[in-house]
Formats: sequence, C-alpha cells, structure tokens
Amino acid sequence: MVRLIRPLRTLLLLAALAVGTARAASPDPEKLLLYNLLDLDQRSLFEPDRHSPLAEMKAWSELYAGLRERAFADASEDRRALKSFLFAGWIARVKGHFATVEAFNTDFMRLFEARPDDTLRVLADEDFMLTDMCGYLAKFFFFENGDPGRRAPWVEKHRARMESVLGPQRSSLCLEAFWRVTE
Amino acid sequence: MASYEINVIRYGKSGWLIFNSGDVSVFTTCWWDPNVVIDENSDGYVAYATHMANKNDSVTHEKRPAIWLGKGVKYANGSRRSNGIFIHEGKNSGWSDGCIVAERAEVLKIWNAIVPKETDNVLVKVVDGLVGDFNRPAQWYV
Repeated sequence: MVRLIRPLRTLLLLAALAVGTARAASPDPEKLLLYNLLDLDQRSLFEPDRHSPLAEMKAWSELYAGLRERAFADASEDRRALKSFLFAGWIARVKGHFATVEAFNTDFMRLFEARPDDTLRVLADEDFMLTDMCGYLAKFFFFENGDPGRRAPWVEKHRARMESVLGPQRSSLCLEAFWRVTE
Repeated sequence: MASYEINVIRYGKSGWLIFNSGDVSVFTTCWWDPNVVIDENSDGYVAYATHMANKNDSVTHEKRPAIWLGKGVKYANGSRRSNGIFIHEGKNSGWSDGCIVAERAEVLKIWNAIVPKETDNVLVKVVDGLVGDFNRPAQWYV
C-alpha cells in the first residue's frame, strides 16, 4: 500500500504544479516527469513548431541529464534534486524507458558512492522507490563491463550505513532486492 | 516512406542485424535483454538515427550514436509500450537493459550510412526466425 500512496502523493503535488502553467519553449521539468509517468499527450508542453516524437525523446533525455547534474550538487534542505533524479530513474524503470534505465544503471552507483548518506536518506523518506533503487545498485555489477564478484565486498562496505540510515526493515528489503538481481 | 531498412532476425537469445544501402552492407550478430523482448513487427518500427544523450560512445566518449525505434514500441507480448528503445553498441546481452545491441563498428556503419540524421527515415523490422533454421541464410527472411 505504501508503494502506491507515496508516488500518488508525489503525483498530486506535481499535478498541482502542472495545472495552469503557461507553455514554455522548453517543457517544465516537473510536468515532463508527470506526463512521462502517466503517458499523457505531450503536445501541449511544446511550442507547436517544436513538437515531434523525437523532440519528446530529447526533452526527456535532457531532463534526465539536468537532474543528474543537480543531484550531485544538491544542497537543499529537502534534497529535492536528489529526490527528483531518483524519481526519474524510478519512472524509467516502471515505464520502460530503457535507454534511461541503462544510463541510470551506472549514474546511480556513481551518485551513491559520492553521497551515500544523502542517497540512503532519500530512500528512507521515499521508500516506494527503495526496492527498484536497490535493484539498480545490483545491476551495476552486471551491466556492460561490470564484475558481479564485487557485489559482496560492496555490500559489506555499506551494510552498517544502510542499517543505520534505512533501519533494519528497509535495509533488509533493500538487500533482498539487491540479491534478487542475477544478470 | 522510409529511405532505409534495418532487419532484426531473432533466434532465441541472439540474432542477426542486417542492413543494406548503397555500398554499405552489414550482417552481424545482435543481442537484447532476454527480459525485454519487443514484439515482432514485419511492417517495421519508424526509427531515427540520432544519439543517446546519456550514454557515451566507448571509444570517442562523445554522445553514443544510436538508432531510436520511436514511441510506443510494444514488448512483453503487446502488454507494455516503451518510448526508450534504441539499437546501439554492445558486446553481448550484458550491454542491454532493454535495447538491441551489436558490435560498435557494425552499428556505426549503419548509423553513418543514414542521411539525414534526426529524421524518421528508417524502418526497423523485427521478426523471429525459426530456431531450427539458424543456418538458413538470413536474407531468406528479408
């Protein structure tokens, strides 16, 4: 149930932001997240002469790149850039944005290694993303030139931190999701 | 009317990626994530030669050249749709989390031959070959 309530709460917030906003040259980031999550018709987000399927794909890709950049530097009290980047990775997984999934496989591990405590705090706060994010962390060790043999040392390196920040129940859920990934 | 055609003929967990245009002829092995099998489409997905904005070429480290299959590509027996499937470089299925991959040099031959870029001038036809017919010339299907 928690898995449903949290994204819906986020969606309601984003929907409120989306209503009544004037059409801009570049689509509004929050609207673009919402529209991708709900498969909404995106034509209204673009100037008529700038809209095409390719423009939609590029807008999503640029949104992802911008969120990634801001996530590494996020100093906001509510960790909004970190949360938004993880939310984009979560949307990519649940909506089958596979090129973004492939990018996130690597980018999320880089972010986690750079900011482990902040990233885990986001996962503790927004735990509807927890198992998908822990799956992403595992996928890193299989993807492209990854080395699955490095998984166990990585887990041992972070286990105490996970248990401390996530708490025992979420930490256990995370590690279960992590070890379920086998290819 | 597309100017170029790419054929993907699948046999189990790998297949052939086939392209012919002018002097450029590509016939190479391709792979995909076995958990993301896009639906057969002998009419073809309308596709674009473009770049992946968030993955880099393994040699130049610039944005990775790739073929985007467009919006609404069906997979999982038509039960799901994706707006994010590309044909791009990769050494095996471990380089895919949903895309179709093939050796970098072969993908680049195709990508370079497609002119102009960023245009819906490519058809990607995906069919399943008969597993027992793996040795049958793939051109038989094209």
